[in-house]
Amino acid sequence: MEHAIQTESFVENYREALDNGQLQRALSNATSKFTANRGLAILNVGDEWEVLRDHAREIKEHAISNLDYYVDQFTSNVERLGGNVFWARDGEAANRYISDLARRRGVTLAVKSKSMVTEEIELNHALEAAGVEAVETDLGEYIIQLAGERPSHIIAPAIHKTRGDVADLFTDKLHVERNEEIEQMTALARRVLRTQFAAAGMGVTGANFAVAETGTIVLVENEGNIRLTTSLPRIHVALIGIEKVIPRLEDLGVFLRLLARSATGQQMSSYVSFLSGVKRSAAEEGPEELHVVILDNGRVNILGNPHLRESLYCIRCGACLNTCPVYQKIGGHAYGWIYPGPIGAVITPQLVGRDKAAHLPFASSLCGACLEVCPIKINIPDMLLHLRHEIKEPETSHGVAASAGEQPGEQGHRKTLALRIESFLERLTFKLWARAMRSPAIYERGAKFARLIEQAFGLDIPGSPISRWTSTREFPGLAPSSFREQWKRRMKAEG
Amino acid sequence: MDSKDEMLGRIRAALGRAKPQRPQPLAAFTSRPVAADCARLAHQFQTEVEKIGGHVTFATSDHEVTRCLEGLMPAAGGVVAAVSDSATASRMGLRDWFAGRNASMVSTLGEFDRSGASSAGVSFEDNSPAEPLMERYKKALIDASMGVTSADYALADTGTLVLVSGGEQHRLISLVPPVHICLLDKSRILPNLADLLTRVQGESYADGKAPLAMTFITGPSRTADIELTLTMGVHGPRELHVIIHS
Repeated sequence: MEHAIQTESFVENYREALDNGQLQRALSNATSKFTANRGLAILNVGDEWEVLRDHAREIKEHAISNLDYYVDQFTSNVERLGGNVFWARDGEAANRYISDLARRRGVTLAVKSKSMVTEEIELNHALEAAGVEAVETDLGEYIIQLAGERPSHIIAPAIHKTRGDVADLFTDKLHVERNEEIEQMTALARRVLRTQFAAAGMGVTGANFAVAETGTIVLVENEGNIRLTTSLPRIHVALIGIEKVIPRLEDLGVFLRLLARSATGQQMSSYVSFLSGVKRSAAEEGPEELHVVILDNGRVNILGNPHLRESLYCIRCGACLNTCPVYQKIGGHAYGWIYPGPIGAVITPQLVGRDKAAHLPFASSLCGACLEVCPIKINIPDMLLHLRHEIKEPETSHGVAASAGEQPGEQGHRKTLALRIESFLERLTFKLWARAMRSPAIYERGAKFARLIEQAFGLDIPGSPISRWTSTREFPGLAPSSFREQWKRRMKAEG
Repeated sequence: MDSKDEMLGRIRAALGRAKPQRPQPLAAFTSRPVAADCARLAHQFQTEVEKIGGHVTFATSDHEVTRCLEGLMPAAGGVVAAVSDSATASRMGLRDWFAGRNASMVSTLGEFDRSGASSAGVSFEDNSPAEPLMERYKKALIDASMGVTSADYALADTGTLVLVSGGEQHRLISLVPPVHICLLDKSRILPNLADLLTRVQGESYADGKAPLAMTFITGPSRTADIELTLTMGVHGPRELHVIIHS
């Protein structure tokens, strides 16, 4: 099972991705399709789209800046309606609570809906260790669970697999005759998973939104597995990051109009479930027990950094992934953890440690396409810049630099020697550059020198300080003589 | 492990506050009002549902409803029908209608509760009253080939059905069987989501109440997880038929 955080091997990761022809085709296909469909869906909404985005941002700003109030209100309402609330400081605490609950209730089989936060804390691993079989029921997640892989995209986890790959997988793991027909494979998965739904003692989900005012959990899907997960088993466990809490039921009128369109270009996902509390009598359709696990796991630290706080506004639509020129080429696995793409490049360093994910904020051309498409207008480019600053110059950047994975002092107060030398060289280079640019004489001589080097060796010299730029770019050829030189010559010739 | 106060305290500290404080009021957002012409809404609803692979028929009498159902019955027979306890279905006598067409009937949850026994045509191994009510109901429902429910509301602009729990037992019947037939009262079709949320806020969610489950259904179940190829009926119903009656 791919459990290790692989953010440090980012360069190897993306090189591997770029070499993978099948992945390149799948990514190109998926991202262009999603982007096109999103565009059409928005055209349909017209001018109101921008108004909705502004409203959404206003709601999230308000909710996050009053998060203590709304988390309190949400959990109080959950309890009032008969649910249980567990406050989990980190993934370990959440896992322990859920595993203990399963053990106490004699649960041996749990069905799960697609939930990134459960992957973040590696819940499946903890459940297995506690003797509980945890089955993913979203088709894409089911496929990658069988394959022992990580999802490569927020919305379509298995887009990196061809139908042939899936057919091979099903033959191998489900012991059936090989069949590449997508309809047949889907029908097979439906049959297999139906027996799991019926037998499971526990259903585990995340939440798209948690409504404070009513104590309601809102879940959005296309397949129907979430509806089955939350209505058939006796126990429903909902793992909810603190940032999912929104103030009012009416706020869904804004978010639901933005979410599906941004994600897949649909006007509305096939199913939206608004779940509140537990049943009061046996003859009602629904679970007997509800356990809401409210999770911090580094989110409070993000909250405490005013420059990066808005990364908590994300509603996980995936639009930024689909539009990002970097993601389009390297896919989700290259980012090395659960959250890929532009939003992943911002959240991951904060949750796993800036030192472990230092490459991610730099893997961007700052084109700003992500900000253009984000339904909540989250300023990802600004946050990428700020993270770069925090990583290179931790003692001068403001805000909390320490996050879940770091010891105090490791990042916030002391730079490594390598980092200090690197930043000294960078500062020196820019000082010299500024000096050269201010002096016409130095500039001219520098240009002549560069021309000589280009003629002798070309500009792409391996190991040169600028080789990381020149090795992947076509440098425009330097003119044989500069304008000044030609002018001087002409003036001399004319006397 | 955190306690409630510990976590709320840390959140407050992160926000730079020593004490809890009541938020400033958040503006109410009103979307532009839409003229609610019943016939126009019904037509818009039909267009939207058909765009995403559902089917819509209009019926102006109970007879037309049963005629529509007739058209949905497979020629080979062998239908196992789950008809909910909706007032509409009762009024139209749909359970009897299905039984009259030689369909096996799945008892409703209420019937299981009252009698504690199976109804005609459905048998299963463990009939003991000790087996929890839901287990018996689930076992019977898994075999259903067709589910009939009504809807509480519908949204015209997205072709969405809204099912609010508490009255009718339609949560599982609209989900488990591969075919879902939904009876929709024309007058319950609302222009859009904002309208619906205002409505339920005043009814089902008023005074601290909340329905166990409010479900939005927009078309049949679907996935594109394999090669982005659209396939219907993954976990939820493969077919959705809406009969709009007045």
